[in-house]
Amino acid sequence: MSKRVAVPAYIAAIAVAEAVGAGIGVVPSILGHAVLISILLSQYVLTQVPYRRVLPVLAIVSLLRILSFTAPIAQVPDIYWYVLVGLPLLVAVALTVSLLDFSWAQLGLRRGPWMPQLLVASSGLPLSLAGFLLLRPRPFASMPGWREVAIGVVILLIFVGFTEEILFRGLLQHVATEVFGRTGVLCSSLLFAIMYIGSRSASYLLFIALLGLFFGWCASRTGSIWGVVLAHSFIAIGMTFVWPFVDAGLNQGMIAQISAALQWGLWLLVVIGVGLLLLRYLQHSGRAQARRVVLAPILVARDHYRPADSLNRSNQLEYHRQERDTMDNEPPPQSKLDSVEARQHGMPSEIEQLIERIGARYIDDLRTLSEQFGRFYDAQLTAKDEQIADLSQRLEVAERQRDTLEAQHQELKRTSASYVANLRTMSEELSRHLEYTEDEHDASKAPNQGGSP
Amino acid sequence: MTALVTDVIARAIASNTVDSLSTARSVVLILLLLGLLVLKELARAAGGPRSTAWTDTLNIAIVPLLLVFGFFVAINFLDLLS
Repeated sequence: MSKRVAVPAYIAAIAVAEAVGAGIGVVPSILGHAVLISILLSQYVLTQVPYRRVLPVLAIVSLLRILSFTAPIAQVPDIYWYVLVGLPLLVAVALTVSLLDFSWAQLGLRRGPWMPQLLVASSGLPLSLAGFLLLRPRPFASMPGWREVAIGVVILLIFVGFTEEILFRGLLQHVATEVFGRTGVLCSSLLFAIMYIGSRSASYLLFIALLGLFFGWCASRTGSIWGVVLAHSFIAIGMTFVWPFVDAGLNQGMIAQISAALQWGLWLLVVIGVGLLLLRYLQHSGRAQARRVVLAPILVARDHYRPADSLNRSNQLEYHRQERDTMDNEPPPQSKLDSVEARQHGMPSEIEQLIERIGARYIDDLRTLSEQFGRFYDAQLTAKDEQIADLSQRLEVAERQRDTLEAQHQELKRTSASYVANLRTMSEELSRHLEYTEDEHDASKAPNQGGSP
Repeated sequence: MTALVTDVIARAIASNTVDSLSTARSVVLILLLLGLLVLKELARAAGGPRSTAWTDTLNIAIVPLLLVFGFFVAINFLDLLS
């Protein structure tokens, strides 16, 4: 299964388990998360898939929910529930960091420039008010003393701000960015929002999703998570210890109106954001189309130099010239797209004309560029043809020399064969002459031996 | 309201009048812990190159769950003493 299917499927499974917890019951949700943990950890050990390093981090997210469903108990005051959940979670994060062999600096626990971090941290103050107005959570204690507030602030700072940010922005965003690139920020923000399904408020969930994107962007831009840790802590502190008590002393009708306006504003922001993303996508697709037009002559030339096509090169060249001319005569694709869009969106005719003029100028530039490319590659082709003619001449000369040498070689072979035959004849004659001389010598010796007494 | 303790969790705890270790959610926690511990022991007994990988990976879930379990036991023990 590819990473683009498997990881979103796991995120969807976590979302379903969260929705079950919010809508059906706690026990089925814990069971779902328990099954997910077993699957995620087993797949991490047993497979070597490219998205493998995301799996233990997703398991920690499920573990977070099991811990938060089981660890808090009624005998312990509310504010200490964060310690009961956060402490084991921090241990799990530390074990995962060790397993995946990360350094703490890689997770954003490094000192960066102070000013950007302080700016990010200060964003927590207005955001906490916005979060409070959207959710209106109940305060932990009716009127806590300074001691309770001090302990609460420290707990929220460590076990909410730090723990959640090290998990979502530090660990999850880091591994998701390793696997998905820049989309990793979206992945961690989505999962961050999913973990707030239990708040049972769509506006607050949307607020958290946007907050996650903002925090993710800040962490990736600054390379440090300290700013977002402080901002997240300020939000939690404000929503727990500040705004509920300020709210109690204010006109409730006015607060309700501000809250409703904020909710509308938030949804409007989302609509505008989606519109901008759509516009950017259209702009991007238009650019891609223009890029194809610019690259056309280069692709034509590349096809021309393929070895299999080199035999009928002149025909090919003619074909590509015709193809280029056809492209030039076609109505410009960008301007066509713009006109259709303009008609669909009911743009004023001036804007439409302006777009057409810009499109026409753009197409002229492209045509000029295309002609220049054509001239350049024609010159290149002529030079190549001359080189080929020169090489053919050299080949003919070499072939003639080879024929001459072959004839000389045959002549030498014939001469050597006749020499060998002559030598063999002479050798045979010589051996016969020697035999005859020996016979004569033996015959002359024999009468002398017979006449002696 | 944070990801750690949501509204659903606060209501679930408020509605529970039974002791911590005997609630259904805690039973699931203990069963998960037992399952993971059994799996870890099986992996260790099987040996091989993957044994260490299994142990390190399962520890990510086992150690935090053991901490929570230890806390439950301590609370119950203190209740017994008092």
